[in-house]
Amino acid sequence: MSLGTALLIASAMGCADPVLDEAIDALGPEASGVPTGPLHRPGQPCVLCHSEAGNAPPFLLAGTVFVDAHSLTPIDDVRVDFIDTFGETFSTTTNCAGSFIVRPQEYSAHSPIWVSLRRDEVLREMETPIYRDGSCAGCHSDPLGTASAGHVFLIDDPEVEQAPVSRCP
Amino acid sequence: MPLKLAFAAWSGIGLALLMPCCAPSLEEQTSTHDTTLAAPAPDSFPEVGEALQQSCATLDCHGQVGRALRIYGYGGLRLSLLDTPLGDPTSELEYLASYESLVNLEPEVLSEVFTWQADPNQLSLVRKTRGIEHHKGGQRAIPGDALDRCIVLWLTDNFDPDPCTDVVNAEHPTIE
Repeated sequence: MSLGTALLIASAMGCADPVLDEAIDALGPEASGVPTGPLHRPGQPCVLCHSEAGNAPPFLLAGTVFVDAHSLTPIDDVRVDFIDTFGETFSTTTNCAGSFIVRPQEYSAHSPIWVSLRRDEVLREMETPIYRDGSCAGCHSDPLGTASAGHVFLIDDPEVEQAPVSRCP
Repeated sequence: MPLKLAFAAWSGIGLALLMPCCAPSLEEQTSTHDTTLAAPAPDSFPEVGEALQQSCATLDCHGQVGRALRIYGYGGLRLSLLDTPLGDPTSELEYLASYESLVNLEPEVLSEVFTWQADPNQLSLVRKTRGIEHHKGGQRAIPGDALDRCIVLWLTDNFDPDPCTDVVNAEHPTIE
């Protein structure tokens, strides 16, 4: 390989973001039997790929809601409410994979953004706001630890709050 | 290896071995230069730390170990391996870890600001908070507001806990 060719390849590779590429690779392949779409990859950091750099249609905010802290059963039909620092609000609902999506053209939010979840009588409010990461799983990944709040869930105490029944097939 | 090159290489190694004997000792260096840097005292930090926790320390911002300025505490990054973001209240050790992270960002400039009340905008912490310098988290304070006064008064040896308390007690917008 000539030096010119090597420099050309090196310069082309310099346009990529190796950190982002590595983070996307770490997500692994698609689950078998789940087509690419709103039901795929629940619980993963959606905005990694769903951004301009990630080459998938960009999301402003996205994530997955599970039933409780100890369960990876997704919960549908949860209303996800957002309010930003200027009081601008937006609401959406989780699908059958427990996931929700907010596209940039739907909500022009300015951080910090506060989030709450509601399904039937259960209300769960996030204690700290979102500043930068539009992926819930950016901070809410498993396992729960020093730098992760664990997955997003609706039911705090199953003895006090009743786990909602899924309306999905 | 040609003889000249070999000689040059060996003399280089010889010089390198001799250098430590000729260089001034650490004691000699420190005795001729004033290396004492001043900073706000850590015992006044918890109030500032709480305000920073509220405004800067979520897990997607400065509650991350990859940050030069990393803030530990309740609601964000935890110091103890046994703790979780919504576990125990912020500990003394976490305040100290956050303090050390902050004062070690630009210690020489901080010393000037603290001792001589040099322009606090010399500190990237202040420039970024005020939005003067690019900050991924955006402008977080306006000169004179509670967060700004909390930080800047502390940095300039005029600590006042009231604006820090105002930051902590500030209500955020809520959905009706």
